[in-house]
Amino acid sequence: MEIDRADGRTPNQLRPLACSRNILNRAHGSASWSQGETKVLAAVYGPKAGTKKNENPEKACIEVIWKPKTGQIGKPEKEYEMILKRTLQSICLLTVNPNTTTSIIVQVVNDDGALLPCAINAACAALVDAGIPLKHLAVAICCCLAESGYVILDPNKLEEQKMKAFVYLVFPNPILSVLPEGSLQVGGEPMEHGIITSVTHGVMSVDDYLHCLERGRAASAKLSDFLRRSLQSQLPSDSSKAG
Amino acid sequence: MQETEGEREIVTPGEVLGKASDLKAGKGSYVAPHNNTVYASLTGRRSIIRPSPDLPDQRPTVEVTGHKAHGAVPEPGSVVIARITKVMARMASADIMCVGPKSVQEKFTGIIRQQDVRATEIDKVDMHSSFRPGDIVRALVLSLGDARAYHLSTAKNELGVVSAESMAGATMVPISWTEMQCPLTGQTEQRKVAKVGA
Repeated sequence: MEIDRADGRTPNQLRPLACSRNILNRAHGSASWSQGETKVLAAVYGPKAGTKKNENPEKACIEVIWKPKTGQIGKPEKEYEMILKRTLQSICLLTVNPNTTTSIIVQVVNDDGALLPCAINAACAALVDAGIPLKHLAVAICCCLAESGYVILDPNKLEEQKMKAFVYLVFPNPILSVLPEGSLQVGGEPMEHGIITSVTHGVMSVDDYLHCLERGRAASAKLSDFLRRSLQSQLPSDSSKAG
Repeated sequence: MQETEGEREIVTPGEVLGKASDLKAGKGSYVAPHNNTVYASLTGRRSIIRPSPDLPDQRPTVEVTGHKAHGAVPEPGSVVIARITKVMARMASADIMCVGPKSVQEKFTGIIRQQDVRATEIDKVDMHSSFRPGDIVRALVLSLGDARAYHLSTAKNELGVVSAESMAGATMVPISWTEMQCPLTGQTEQRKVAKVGA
């Protein structure tokens, strides 16, 4: 069922994407990510010596600090920090720099819906810019479920408020391989990366959730391709910054 | 070890670089234990380095290079350059400035315990006769220590004070393994001196 969206997009259509890296001088890595009018700036500092209290000193520690556009940090922001931290912990190689802390500062520039996925994408790009070793990239997307049961991707603020439920999904980037096709199959099946994070708001049935998952995974391939291309195009050519 | 040309395509984290049976994971790559596959962990150019013919393991090493590297981080076994900040009866504190040839971006603190100053007569070590605040030392990272500091050691001939200022403010010259002399006043001071030319 085709539905009309206020901005003229189709249900599966994402807002225009933009990503730029290495935009802050003092940070070890930084990136801005925007999806339509939603824009987030992420900065990475570290690895710094020592881990936080109650953290394993034999692994690297990830610290996320969320900075709202205006005002003080509240419960939703604390939840965003926790989700971001757990998501980034799962994609970072934590054994490479044990007993160190890497801080990620997330500054909201503008919120026009799907803020958390935008922040996750920005943080991932900033980690790459800082040269922090990652198991794989992560791409995040928001899927919304309307009262009538249809699913739309990447909603703006107005659409988000009207929806019955929505889900934030984070997927690893699809495997690209220099090996011949078929060599990475497990039991005759292509090796699937699965899902990193799933956060739901509101009420939805299992079937609706699986439908969102399917649509989100399909859209994540576009996001992943965009992220890859933007990272590759901004690879430093001068050896002064190279490791 | 020489690098093979034509293997310079750009990769991003998570991209498969090869099988662990065929390749060794070098800088910017890692082996996933569940499927013995080598993946990229950084964004950069994939390069394959052929091993020397005399090595027993003849697998080439795959590396991801050309990326922006994060600041150096001390790890056990690495040799660091540090500045002594505080000397106490049983230990000395130091700020790590370089790890190998790379300077650190963040502040890393290390401690040299009395038993780690030298290899012989470790119970007779006088910390104040080994180091002074402001001395530049070459030391080995023993362990991660605790959350506050890395454990450092100078218990080798080539480790110890490499540069120190005298009371007169001049850079002293080593005259023995335990003494340095001020070129202006001729006064000698006790230090655990690193072997020159090491």
